[in-house]
Amino acid sequence: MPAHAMRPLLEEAENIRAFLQEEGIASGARLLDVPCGIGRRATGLAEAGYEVVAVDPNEIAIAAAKGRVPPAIGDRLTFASAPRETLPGLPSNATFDAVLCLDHALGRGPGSDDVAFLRRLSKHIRPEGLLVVDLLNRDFFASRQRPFAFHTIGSVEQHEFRSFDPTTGVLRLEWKFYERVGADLKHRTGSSAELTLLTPRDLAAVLDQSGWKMNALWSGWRREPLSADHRKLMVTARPARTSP
Amino acid sequence: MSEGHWTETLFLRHPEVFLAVHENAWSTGEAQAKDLQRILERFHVPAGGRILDAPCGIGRHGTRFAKMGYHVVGVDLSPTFVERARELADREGVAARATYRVGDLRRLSESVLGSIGAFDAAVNLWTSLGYYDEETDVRILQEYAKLVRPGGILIVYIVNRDYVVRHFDPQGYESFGDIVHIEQRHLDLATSRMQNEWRFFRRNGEDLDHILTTPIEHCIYSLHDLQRLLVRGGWSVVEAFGGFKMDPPSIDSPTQLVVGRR
Repeated sequence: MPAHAMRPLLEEAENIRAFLQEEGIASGARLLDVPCGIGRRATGLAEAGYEVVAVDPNEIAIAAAKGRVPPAIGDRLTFASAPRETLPGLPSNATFDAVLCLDHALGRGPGSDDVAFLRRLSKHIRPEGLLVVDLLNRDFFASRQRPFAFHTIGSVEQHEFRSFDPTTGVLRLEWKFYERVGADLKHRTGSSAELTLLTPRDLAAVLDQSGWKMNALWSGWRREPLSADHRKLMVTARPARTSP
Repeated sequence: MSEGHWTETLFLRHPEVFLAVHENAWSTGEAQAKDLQRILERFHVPAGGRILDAPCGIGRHGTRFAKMGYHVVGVDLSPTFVERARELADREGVAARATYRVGDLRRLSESVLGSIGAFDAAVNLWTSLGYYDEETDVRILQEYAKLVRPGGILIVYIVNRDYVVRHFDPQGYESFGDIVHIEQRHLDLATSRMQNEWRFFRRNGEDLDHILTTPIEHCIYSLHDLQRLLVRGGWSVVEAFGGFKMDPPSIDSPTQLVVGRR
């Protein structure tokens, strides 16, 4: 997915910081951000004083992110890449106060094994630590037929086509990117993604199978109550007491 | 109305674009006309009776009515659509029972001179009210009332404001033939006016070559608004439905169909 397509899904580091603060995870705590994409959020959180390890399967994005780390926060921000099926790919002694798993990092395509991924993440959480997951909200897409949207970013016009299949829970997104030349639209590139969307119940089951206990559900970083009116589904979880 | 009104842009200055929209919808007319026939019969419009179809576009419904044996006069603002309606009526072998002419809804009785009180029924379909202001809509409904005989009916079929509010989708995309239509929508809740921008493109490989951009501004009505409007236009409301299938009105129905009696 191109970085600018993800932009509407990205939350500002400030919202996350405020959210974590209220959870008792203050500046100075250790955060794991996986997958981190191009590292914009991780950089913001390191600037806010957190010690951040950020991992993504996209080596190109990680190489670019490493090159952009501001020197002032170089000692608090570490980027690494790892293959998707081994994420986060960190040594077993790396532990964190919070693990952020954001921008619909679960249900990515038919081959994604969410239980195995979440189980690997559970090995890196401290006993009182917190997992934060945000996903596209299945109930929002199931109850609102909005098959198309367009956005303009400078001279680029992005067309987004959406189709949700309620029998499989798969949201298919297709993007076409055009350059505006006068009033004409010159096609430049396109991409697509198939995302499996989960209900809160599905999500609780996945967490349960992977060494986590669901803690709370929200519709956004400002703790909006769970609702089909929000595009986002957020969940926090704690490590299950009895580690298998 | 000023020369710059969007109806003139879309129907007079660039009719080829909306002609493609009509052509794309042509095939849907068959089943819709059959549904409408049930409504005409329910309200005692006689077989072979006279029907005014305005605005008629390319005769998607009118020509089907003629095939059922009704005598149809269709009126549309666009000479391009009227010409195409005549061609299609001819092709379907019903030119003798379907007459198409150019005219403006606001002066409908002038377009169909000599037909005062001549029609058993009139139809206004596909959200063809609300293009001007409310007083103009009342005058348009009065124009239909001049042309329909006492006891005859008017069928108005338009988008349902309540549905639009409940299911508002700010952007739309349609593709038919090589034409792509992209819509940006805004609803002013205070005035019930849709303030849309329509862009039309022609596919050129993967590129979209721009044809036309036009604002589309029109008023959308809730069922109570529409019923009150019919009464002001000289009609008594006899029944309201969600659509062609005579399903009950609902805020979850995208459309509403109201039958008025003269």
